[in-house]
Amino acid sequence: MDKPLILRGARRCSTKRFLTWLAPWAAMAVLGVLAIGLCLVKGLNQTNMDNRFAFGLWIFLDLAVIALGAGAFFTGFLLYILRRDELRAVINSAVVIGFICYSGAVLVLAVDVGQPLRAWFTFWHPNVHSMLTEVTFCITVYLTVLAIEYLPIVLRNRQLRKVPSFLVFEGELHKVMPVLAAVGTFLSFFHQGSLGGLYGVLQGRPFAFRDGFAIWPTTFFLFILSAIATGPAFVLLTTSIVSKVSGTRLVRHVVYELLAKVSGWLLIVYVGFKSVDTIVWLNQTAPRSGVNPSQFYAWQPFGSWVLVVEIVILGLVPALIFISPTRRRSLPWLVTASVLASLGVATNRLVMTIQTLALPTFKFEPFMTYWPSWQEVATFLFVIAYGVILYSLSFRYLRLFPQERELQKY
Amino acid sequence: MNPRGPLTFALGLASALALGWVAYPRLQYRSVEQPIQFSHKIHTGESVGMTCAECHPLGDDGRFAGLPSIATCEPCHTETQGTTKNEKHFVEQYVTKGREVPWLVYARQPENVYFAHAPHIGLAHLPCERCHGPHGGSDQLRPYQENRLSSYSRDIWGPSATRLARAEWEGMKMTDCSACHEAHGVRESCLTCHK
Amino acid sequence: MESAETTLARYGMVIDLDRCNGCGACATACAVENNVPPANTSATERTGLTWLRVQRVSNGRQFPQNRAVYIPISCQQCGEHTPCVSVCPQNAVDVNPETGVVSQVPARCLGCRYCMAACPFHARYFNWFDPKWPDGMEATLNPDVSIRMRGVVEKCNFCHGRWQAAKAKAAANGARDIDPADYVPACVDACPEKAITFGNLDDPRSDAARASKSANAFRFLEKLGTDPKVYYRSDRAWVRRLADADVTARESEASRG
Repeated sequence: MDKPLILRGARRCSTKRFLTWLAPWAAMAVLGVLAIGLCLVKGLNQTNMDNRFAFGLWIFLDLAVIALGAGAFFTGFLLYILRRDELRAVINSAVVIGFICYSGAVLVLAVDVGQPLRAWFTFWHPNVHSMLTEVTFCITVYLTVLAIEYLPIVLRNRQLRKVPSFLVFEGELHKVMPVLAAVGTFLSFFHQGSLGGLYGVLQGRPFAFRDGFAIWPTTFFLFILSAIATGPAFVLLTTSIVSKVSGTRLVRHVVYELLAKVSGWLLIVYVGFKSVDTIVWLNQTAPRSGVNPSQFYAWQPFGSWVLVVEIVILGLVPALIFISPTRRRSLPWLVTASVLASLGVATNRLVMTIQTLALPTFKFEPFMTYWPSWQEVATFLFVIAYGVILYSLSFRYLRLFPQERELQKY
Repeated sequence: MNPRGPLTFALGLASALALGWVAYPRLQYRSVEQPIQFSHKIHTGESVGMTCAECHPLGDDGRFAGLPSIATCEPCHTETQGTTKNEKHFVEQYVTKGREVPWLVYARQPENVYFAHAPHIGLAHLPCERCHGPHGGSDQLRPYQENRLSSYSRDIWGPSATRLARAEWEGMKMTDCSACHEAHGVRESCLTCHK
Repeated sequence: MESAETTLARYGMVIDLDRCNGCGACATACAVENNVPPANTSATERTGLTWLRVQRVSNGRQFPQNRAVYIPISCQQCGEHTPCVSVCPQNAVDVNPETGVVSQVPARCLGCRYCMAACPFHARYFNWFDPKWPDGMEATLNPDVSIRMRGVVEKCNFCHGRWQAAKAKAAANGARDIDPADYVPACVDACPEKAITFGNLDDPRSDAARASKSANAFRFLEKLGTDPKVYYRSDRAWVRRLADADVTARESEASRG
């Protein structure tokens, strides 16, 4: 039915099957819209957040998807600035993933703040000392960059490219892609860092507070490193999942290997810095704030095992898999390592958000617990459903993997 | 290039400007007449000779009385002064019945603003006209204009939509307060003018 | 041109925990003074608006050694590195240089709650619900304090409206500086035990400045380096030990009242 729209030379399932695939995601999205509506109309009392747990599932989600969305800018950086041409095979897909992650994050943020209509205040009355101001500026501008990067992919659709002026416009956009990639890289380095800085500057929260260089706490650099290390791994992961679900080969194995190699070495650097940072923080920074660091891990379930899981199992282990040339030849190993690395960055963001708030500052207060309400979970699911739907449509009608047509000949 | 291009552009620009400067301010505000027409001029003129502070006094405790209550009017207005319908209405409907006049206050500040007359009068020695304009000599009360969205008085923004070429007293926006404070070395923070 | 400078003050308070009997009059007076709406029926102790909360803490011992202390906690009005000021993305929070009071402007607040995450004293509250007063009770609202809408953060500001009133009174009489007797926060006024001493900490003649320097005065979480202007005092060593965060988890568990 939608055949004239479908990518030329690509094998795609029937319309009926495609709609059957979309239906459950659409149902999930409808539930999400209901939850979002409740939060906007009735207020944030619909969530289980409170004065002590001022941040919850949503902020964790924002931090995690933005870290995973880093694949978009970092792949662009490797392709357009460092000229790793192999990555042309995944750049379109990476851009779509990045767009989904960032737009999803902005959407959830708009529900999360108490007065969404005042969002423009940050631009009109900015406090330049706040990491959040920087995050807001960069994410807004970068989302625009991603939208512009998405546009030529859309315009190359079989039907749309029949319009001559679209074709000309697409060609022009293509010429400025390296510039956009450079802008995107600059913006992303800053806001990934500032998201880390968000926590590192919290002098009143010894669990999050870090020393640093000049105005940047170490979390600023660690967040950049962890994001660019897991970004390519997430591109690898999503590409292999799409390949599996659609039953088509999408990229040559060398592309996977390159992504894995980049992720692997960056993860090694990240794990190294993270370990040094953890040691300095536990032995110097935290005691200076008058805290006994053993207290950080004295409350279940957030025991010191969290550190081991985060740094070793979800950091060092995938790094070692990625940098081993023999393991890299096997896709199952690469997928396993990508899952571990993605979970690792998510764990880090979870710990920074949730454990920071759960830990008492007064010695006479308890460890706080928080469990999201169904409205919070449904909003979270909305972002996932929205992502799957947008990606599915893009995959069906747009050329996300330039090598696909060629690989089908074999 | 299409020769009609520049013309289309000019027309578009003109209509956009007309919309923004003429049509929008009309849409934005609704005009309400004051319940009673009051002449400041008669009261401050030579025959009566009242000062601003006689009806709008500042108390020793620093509280500004704002608009006078009907008790202030009563001594002279128990009997109809003059022959206007307006005066007759005022005496019959308000003075005799002891009802307060629901005046619409042009200079009413939004709810989140703290403003005290005391420092401006007692310390800065500003004349009333600096912020309220020379309405002590006015013969008529102009219609009160209310912003349909915010319900603020139009005097906060000022009569000029563009805020260009306006008199010193026109406009009571935060930036207007701040500009004067800054010029006179007043130490400011949010809580100086917000509550 | 005459200078518009006022003498700068650094207002603070010293709360005598040995006098506090936990009656809660301070918290009630605070809510009335500052137009805090009655709690929503579905509000919990963690979603309410308690600019001043009185926390009961026990020494964790068994009877007959069991002792308790009541700790009134409001915004501690940090001086140095005020954690909430620098984090606000849109300048809704600042420090008033004339009083040292940390402000919170509800009409500017976006409701992102970053300041709440930043505050180690948990002294900031979010309006999870629409503020509602029973019919007719709006008439009791204090005109010197704005009411807050749903979705913004609020907190104690040492009854700044009272300072403004004192300032206006002085100005009406041509004076730049207020009479200290004219400015006392509602909680200080309300305390039947006179446990709270309030005043300018920079004025060595003020009772508050003297009390803050007395032997058994302390501040909570001093090592965080935020320089709070709310002091506490107690002659009981175990109470003073509550001030630091350095503690093992077990001790913390035990002292929870």
